[in-house]
Amino acid sequence: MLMPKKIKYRKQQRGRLRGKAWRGSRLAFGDYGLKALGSGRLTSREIEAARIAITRYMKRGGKLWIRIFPDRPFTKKPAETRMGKGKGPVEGWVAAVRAGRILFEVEGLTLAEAQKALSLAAHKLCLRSTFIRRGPFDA
Amino acid sequence: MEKLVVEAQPRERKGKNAARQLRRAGRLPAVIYGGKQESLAVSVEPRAVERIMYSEAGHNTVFTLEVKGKGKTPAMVRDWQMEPVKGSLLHVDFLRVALDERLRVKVPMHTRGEAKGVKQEGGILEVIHREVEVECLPTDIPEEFVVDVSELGINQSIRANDLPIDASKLRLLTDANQVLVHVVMPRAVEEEKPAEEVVVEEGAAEPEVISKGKAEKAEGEAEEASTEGEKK
Repeated sequence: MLMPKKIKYRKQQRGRLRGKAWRGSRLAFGDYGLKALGSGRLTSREIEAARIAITRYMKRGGKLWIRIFPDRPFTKKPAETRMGKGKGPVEGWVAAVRAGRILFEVEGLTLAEAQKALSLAAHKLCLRSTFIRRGPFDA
Repeated sequence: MEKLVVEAQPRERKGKNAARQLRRAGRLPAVIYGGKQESLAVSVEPRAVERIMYSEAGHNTVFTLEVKGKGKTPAMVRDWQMEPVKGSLLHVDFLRVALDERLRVKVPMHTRGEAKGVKQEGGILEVIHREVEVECLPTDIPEEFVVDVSELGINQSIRANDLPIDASKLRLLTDANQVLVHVVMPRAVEEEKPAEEVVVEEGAAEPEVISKGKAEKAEGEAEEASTEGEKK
């Protein structure tokens, strides 16, 4: 599961996700990609599930890039706990994703294979996403 | 290539308000610069820019830019901004081109054929660089470089100096030893990994806190004590 090796502070406030992904919204490595159409948080479990779905489908055939990283901790209070007494322990890690962000890129697959692989991955994510391919504007 | 004509209108009002109004009216804000002249804010038809970008030479197409009341000039698309979600054009930069002056351009590189290392040995063809930078006259800009990869075996590569470049017209600016395409063995990832990761997850490996000092340790201990207290 993806998570940072070192962090400066153990817990973070939730914050808000405003605007669109002006960075990381163009294909940088592969020929095909999966782009987020909405904003939200993707947990490391979702990213891992999507990664496994893609690599299993590719069967060592192509190359995969994961363009997001879950570097934000989220906390959760234990069950049946009264309110107060401080913030709960860290439960997991999420990637803050804005609309337009490229989530995954693949290379070395045919168009149909890439579409299928990324569609399988899209089903593991809690955000709407779309398949994109390299065009003249991605130079 | 030269016959393409793009009509532009000068923009009087600048700033995001005016630019957004223009976009709503179906025009595309753009700027023209270079050629030892002042830059000029203009607006163009987005379709015209798309036609250039989707042409064979793509963004290296030299076309005639006709600005209302300012005359004609040969130009190229130098840069562009896209809307991240819909992928529509937001702004374009045009560069005035002097047809007798050499300029630096990035020419796309495409592969042809299926590599031997992929077909027979199960490798992956990896494209490291999709563009090669060259210096040439605007009239000599190649549309693309096509590289035949059918003879590439595992761990073999094609470098920038392997490209068929006409030295009398073009000068290669990309490092000549730069690998453009190579065939590599896929890394063995697969099946066992999920099982390993479950173990890691159960161990609740927490990342190291960089500034972990006495204060934080004390805080951590206090917190643990408090959660235990709550459970009770």
